[in-house]
Amino acid sequence: MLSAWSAGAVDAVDTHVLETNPLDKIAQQNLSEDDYIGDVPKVLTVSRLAQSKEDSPSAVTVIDSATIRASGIVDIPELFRLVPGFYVGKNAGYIYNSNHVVSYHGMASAYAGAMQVLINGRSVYSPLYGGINWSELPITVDDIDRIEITRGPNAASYGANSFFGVISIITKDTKDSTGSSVRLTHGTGRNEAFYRYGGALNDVNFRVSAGYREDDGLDNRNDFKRTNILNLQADKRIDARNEINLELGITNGDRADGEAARDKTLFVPRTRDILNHYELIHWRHSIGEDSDFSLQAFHSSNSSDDKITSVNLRPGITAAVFNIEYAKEYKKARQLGLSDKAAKKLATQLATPLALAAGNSLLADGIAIDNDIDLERYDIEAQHTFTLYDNLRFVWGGNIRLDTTYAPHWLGTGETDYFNLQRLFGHVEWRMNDHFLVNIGSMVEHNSFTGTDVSPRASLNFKLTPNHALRFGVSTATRTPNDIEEKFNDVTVIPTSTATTYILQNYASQGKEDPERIVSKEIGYLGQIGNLNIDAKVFYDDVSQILNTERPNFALPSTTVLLSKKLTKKLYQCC
Amino acid sequence: MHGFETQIKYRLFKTTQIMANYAHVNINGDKNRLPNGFTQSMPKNTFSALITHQFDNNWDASYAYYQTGSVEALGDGQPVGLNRRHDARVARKFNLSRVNAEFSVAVENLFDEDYHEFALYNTVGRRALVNLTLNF
Repeated sequence: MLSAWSAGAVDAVDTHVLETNPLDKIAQQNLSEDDYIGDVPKVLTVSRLAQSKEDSPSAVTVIDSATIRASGIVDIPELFRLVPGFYVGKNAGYIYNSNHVVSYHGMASAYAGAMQVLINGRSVYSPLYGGINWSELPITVDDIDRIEITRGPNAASYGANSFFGVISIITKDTKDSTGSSVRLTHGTGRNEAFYRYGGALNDVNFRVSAGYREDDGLDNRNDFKRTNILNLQADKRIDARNEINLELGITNGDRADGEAARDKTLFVPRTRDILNHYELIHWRHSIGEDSDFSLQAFHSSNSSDDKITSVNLRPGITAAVFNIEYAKEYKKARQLGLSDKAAKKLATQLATPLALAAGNSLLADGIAIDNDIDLERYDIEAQHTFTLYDNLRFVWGGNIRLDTTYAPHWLGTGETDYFNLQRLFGHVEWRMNDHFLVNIGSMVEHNSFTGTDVSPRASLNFKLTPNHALRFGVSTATRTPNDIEEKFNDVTVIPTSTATTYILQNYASQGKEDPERIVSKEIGYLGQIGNLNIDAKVFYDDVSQILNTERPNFALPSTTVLLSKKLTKKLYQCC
Repeated sequence: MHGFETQIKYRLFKTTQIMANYAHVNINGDKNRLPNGFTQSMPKNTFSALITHQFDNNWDASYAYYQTGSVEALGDGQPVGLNRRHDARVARKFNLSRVNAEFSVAVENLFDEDYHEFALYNTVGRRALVNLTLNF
């Protein structure tokens, strides 16, 4: 029998925890693997209530530390190859991000921004492009206790960006990692050394990890990474009802970027410096036997120092202007009745001096691009969990967030951009009887870009027998445009000594887009037959208001020359 | 987007476990209204498996297989074909005085099948890693 599925087994976990300390009931994020029964652990983050998998409102996969160890994987995103429906690609992109791409059910891109990623409840996606700089996370696979992956929209619990799913990484408890640990890895293009020490000082349990990782990347690519990581986690039990958790982390190092095969002009192969750090404090308070409160605040900062000098643009400008002027003059000559040969000769004669003058008019051989990026996130979240009746549990709370973005090249301004977000969420779990359980939840959020959005979710979970369960679920989510989608304004101008302006490229966003929307319907099955555990689902995801990038009509001033027609894009909405 | 996905876990023996994952995903839509390549931005079929075996209290080994169908990621991505990857790992635990140690060797892409991932400029080759962990 799949014991973790029986109410008795779940109760056994809770009873054990309660007997230890009232606060431990809300310290469920610290459940060790010993608390899991069978192959189906209790999941903690899908609905924000601790639930067994068959009670969860969405499909969920858990990767535990034993699986991580057995896989031999050393890069966190590689682990998601072991989750059904995920696509993982190495070292995607080459401009600002040569990290893994991790996507679920589609829309894979180097800047995939449709996934919420949390580390101990801290959201780590980039406000600039919505994706994850996986190699810059201040943890290693060795620090991870387990990862809970919600396979499906989960905006009802974690808001916008929880579009296709949520990856919730939970690190090992300080109490479970005492003593010293040294980990040395050497291999093909990869070396790392990490030291970890965990202990107790008075009534504070703590763990400090520090290390260095060098990764040479893929063959024939300029994508090496050098990373220093320092991480501190401390937990203080104030009394039987109160606990404070503190986390600090820092990551810095070098990142090689640029792909000569794709961009020979601007984002040429180079090395940039990164410096990231975060600070988090979490207070957990047991109000009573069936009522818990938590308050979490964190700040994170991600900086990339990237001053780029383009290649010598004079030959390129000369050639580009020649092509433009030649085409213009040739057309005129043909309209005047000249033969093809004569028209070509005349066009060449007229275009050549203009092209040479254009090349000579540049104030410098190349242009400087300020690709520095500074991102900050301030976030405060409160959550109240309580049981009204034995079969009725609630969780609700609120969250406020401020994201700031300084990205002069991408936003076309030296000013810092601000994004404000306010949220209210709630979820109720109603166990109707031994066979039926209902989950209903929703998130209401208001943000600076798209206003107010609502993301409801509901499921009916039906336990046919102790070993077989079905789930009928509907979940919705929105994806708020990120800064690039909302405020992209990249006008790369080449300074000249004349009145003519040369624009190398121009990307712009219309701004104020409505969010993308998804409605996901699923029928899930969980079962155990002998030694065989099965988790399966059929799904139908309806995605609408997809943000698209296509070239619109674009009017240029008469004294402005756009050097590449393909390089003007504007975001608009479709579908 | 619609499809089917599953994860199965099977304990073959007390010392041997198998985990397998499979997903079939179809993306349909009006190509004239969607970003280029949108309907190819997820492989139709993905499969992975992890087999672990505990020889005794000290030795264990695992084998992983990953298969990803052809895909064309959006943006900087390019069409890449189906790829298969085999990983293997062997680990040995031992004690040195008061130190609990583990030595392991892992090989990714065991058969060195140079394949492309995400874009044609990303060629993935074989990678071997040796690891020593000391706990004291």
